[in-house]
Amino acid sequence: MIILDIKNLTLEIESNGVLIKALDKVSLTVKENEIRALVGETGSGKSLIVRAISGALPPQWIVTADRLTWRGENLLTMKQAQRQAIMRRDIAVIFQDPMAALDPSSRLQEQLLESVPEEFVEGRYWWERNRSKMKIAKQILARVGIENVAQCINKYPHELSLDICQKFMIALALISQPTLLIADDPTRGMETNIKKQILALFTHLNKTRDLSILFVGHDLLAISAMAHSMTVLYCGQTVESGKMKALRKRPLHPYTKALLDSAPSFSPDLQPKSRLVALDGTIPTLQHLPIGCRLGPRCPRAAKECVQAPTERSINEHKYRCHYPLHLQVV
Amino acid sequence: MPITPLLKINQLTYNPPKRWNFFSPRPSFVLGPVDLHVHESETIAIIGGNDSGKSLLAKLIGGAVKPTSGEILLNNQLINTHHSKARANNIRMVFRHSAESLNPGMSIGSMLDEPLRLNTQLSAAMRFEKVNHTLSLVGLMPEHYYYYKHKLSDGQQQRVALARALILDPQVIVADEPFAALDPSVRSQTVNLLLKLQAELGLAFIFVSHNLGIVRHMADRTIVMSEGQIVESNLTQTLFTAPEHPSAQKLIHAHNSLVSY
Amino acid sequence: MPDTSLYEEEHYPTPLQATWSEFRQRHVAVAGLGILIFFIIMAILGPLLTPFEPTTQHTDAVLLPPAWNDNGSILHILGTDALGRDMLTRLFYGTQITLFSSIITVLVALCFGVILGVIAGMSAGLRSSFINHILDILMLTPTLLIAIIIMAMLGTGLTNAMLAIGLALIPRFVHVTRDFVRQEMSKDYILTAKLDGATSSALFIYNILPNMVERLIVQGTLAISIAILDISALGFLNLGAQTLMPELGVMIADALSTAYIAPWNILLPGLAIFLMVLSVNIVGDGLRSAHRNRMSH
Repeated sequence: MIILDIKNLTLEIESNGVLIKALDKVSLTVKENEIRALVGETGSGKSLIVRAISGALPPQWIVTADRLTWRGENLLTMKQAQRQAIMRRDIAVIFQDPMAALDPSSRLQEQLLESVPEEFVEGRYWWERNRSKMKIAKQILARVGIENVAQCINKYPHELSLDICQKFMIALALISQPTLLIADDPTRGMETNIKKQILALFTHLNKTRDLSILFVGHDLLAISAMAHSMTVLYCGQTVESGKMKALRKRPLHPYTKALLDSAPSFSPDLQPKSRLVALDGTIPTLQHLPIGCRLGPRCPRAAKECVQAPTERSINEHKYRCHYPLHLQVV
Repeated sequence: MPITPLLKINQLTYNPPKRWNFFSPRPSFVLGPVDLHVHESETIAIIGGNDSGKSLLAKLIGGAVKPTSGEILLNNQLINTHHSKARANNIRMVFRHSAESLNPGMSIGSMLDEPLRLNTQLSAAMRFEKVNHTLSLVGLMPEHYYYYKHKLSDGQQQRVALARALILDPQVIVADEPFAALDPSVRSQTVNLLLKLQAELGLAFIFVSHNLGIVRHMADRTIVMSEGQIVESNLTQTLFTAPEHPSAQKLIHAHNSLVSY
Repeated sequence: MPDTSLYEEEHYPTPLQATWSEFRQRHVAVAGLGILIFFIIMAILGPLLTPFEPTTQHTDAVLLPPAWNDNGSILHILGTDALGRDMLTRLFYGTQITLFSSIITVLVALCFGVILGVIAGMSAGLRSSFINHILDILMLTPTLLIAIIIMAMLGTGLTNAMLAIGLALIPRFVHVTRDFVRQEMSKDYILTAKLDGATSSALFIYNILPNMVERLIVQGTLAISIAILDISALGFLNLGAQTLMPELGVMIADALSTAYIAPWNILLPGLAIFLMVLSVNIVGDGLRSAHRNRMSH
């Protein structure tokens, strides 16, 4: 069952009197109990999507969408309070930099206890409730794999290492027992060891707690290790989406191919020190977006049609937007 | 047969200066002693966990941090571990890409001109020519001479940082996480550029990275560091197939388990 | 002929130019700049335009109202004061003295402040905190009070007043410079320049100063407004410029005795001070927000 369904989400920002489509007809779905990866480079608008889902966009930005629904309820038209309730209970967000997202001036314990939802707390008197809160907090910390719970919980964020802080962020997100966890580049700048631990934790949570995860990032190595399906984003346009395996084996869009090629680990028969396949040029800035397919100027297969934005086509569950897909004969 | 190494590092150590701390004495971290040989046009990668001292080692070689003891020999000549012209000319450092890696108030041209002005006797016209030549070497255009940092993309900025290192025709380039904080496609471009330059100029390249895929792709030799010591040093292929030291094994296995999905 | 340059449409401004174009979009700030430029022109050209000396006393025309009044004379457009001196001439000279002496004061204070700030910012430990904290004490006391104390020691006079106010303004510049230099010194690009063998002074002049110019301009304009106020205040208190000098503060003090008969004698120099300070403040504020805006892009 699809829990989060976004269809043709467009986000327009005014800059110097001109409306710029920062997101252009983005579609994204997250099914129940699925790990969906949202892949894109800097400036692709992945963080904007996260903010659009959580409703944290400035009011002067214009959001239009054919569908932006949470379990069938329209997020765009519902009341603010209702939306906040969903964000509080059902959807949890983890941000990139755990050190910046945690309050540096209070102990982890205080931050964690503060976010325990009242519904879960048992007992009538404050001491009972405090004890109950503490119990919930300790359980959750144990679940995300923090050792020495008693020791860690009394420390300030700066006294702990990056991985513990990130695990703690996950614990904070999980405490309200959400159905969907949105993780915005949670493994950025991490060592392979730690990255693996965090990813294993996500996989574990997905399997044991039926948690759906929307994993945002550009580390394809990490993503392919855990995600079930993937949506690729370029410059505010979704270029391709589908099952992880299918995308890795047979990417249809040239950009997906370029992304996969950029990680040398994916091609074991690649000669060391050989040239990596890379697209020329750089990602255009918002002020200089090309018309039509935004990959156009950088695309090795670009042709005349590419100044028209391609419509979404699909083969089974594999959706793509390209006039000249790889591996396919154009009819 | 191995000729005399280009760069030889003997018993290099670093103890952080004792700082008078009112509240608690920090557990002191000691690096080394470290021995390292680097040959001409060789690529060496330094990997290791957090706080293993890999960045510090790069900075010691590059001269950004002064070592406590030990010596660095370039072409069998002792290099003053404090400032010296020979080091500035021959060993150059590149830092990880960040908002602070280039001066926002200087045009790219004057930024590249600075090392020439300080370290060579070239005339202004010759310097200008050299800057333009280096710009084209890293795949930038002559127009970029007049640009300021804020008009360049991340990849271009990293190219400028590289150009700044290359402009004095060095023999060794030391880079601290040169590929971190770059997007995948830009990262590939930078890797290609470095490989090309190395083939053309015969540079020795020492870099720190936590992206093991790139380490495997680029490096001839890989050094694994742990707690301030070099715990393993081997040819990259050998190291990636059969790591010996536990901390090396941990890193490589973690990487392989991610790849094998 | 079509232009073949691909980059024609794109203009790459230096950071300073970018700030300027931000500044130009603020109408109030531009208006303020206009008023300021008007005062500067007035101060430079005014003395050439007027036929009178500021000290000439016209005994036949004492306390003449401005020309638009029935009793006024076209000879003295803005009237005369109690000694029969032409008001317009005195305003020209007064603007010159007040405005230029404040600008000079601020420039001198800026030079000393930046030098001290750089020393404090580039050195660590005792020297740095000594400079900083000693000057903090100076900054805590109001400028006017320090000036009065200095005047008590050195005696009155415009030069001494400038000296006193300049001394009181130095800590502001020291602070700005020191904080900025401190913050920049830890950045990677300074480290690369250091590795190139740049000496401290080269490091500052080539690498840090270009980034700091804007901040200094902003601080400088705000300091000018303080200097204008203080110099005329000291003039008014008879501590700064002396009675014979056509300084704006002195002019107000002189006109105090005839305030009921000839209010314009107070009003006009007062208005000049007010407009000058206001325009300098508007310009400084506009520069500051233009700078902030540019940094946020």
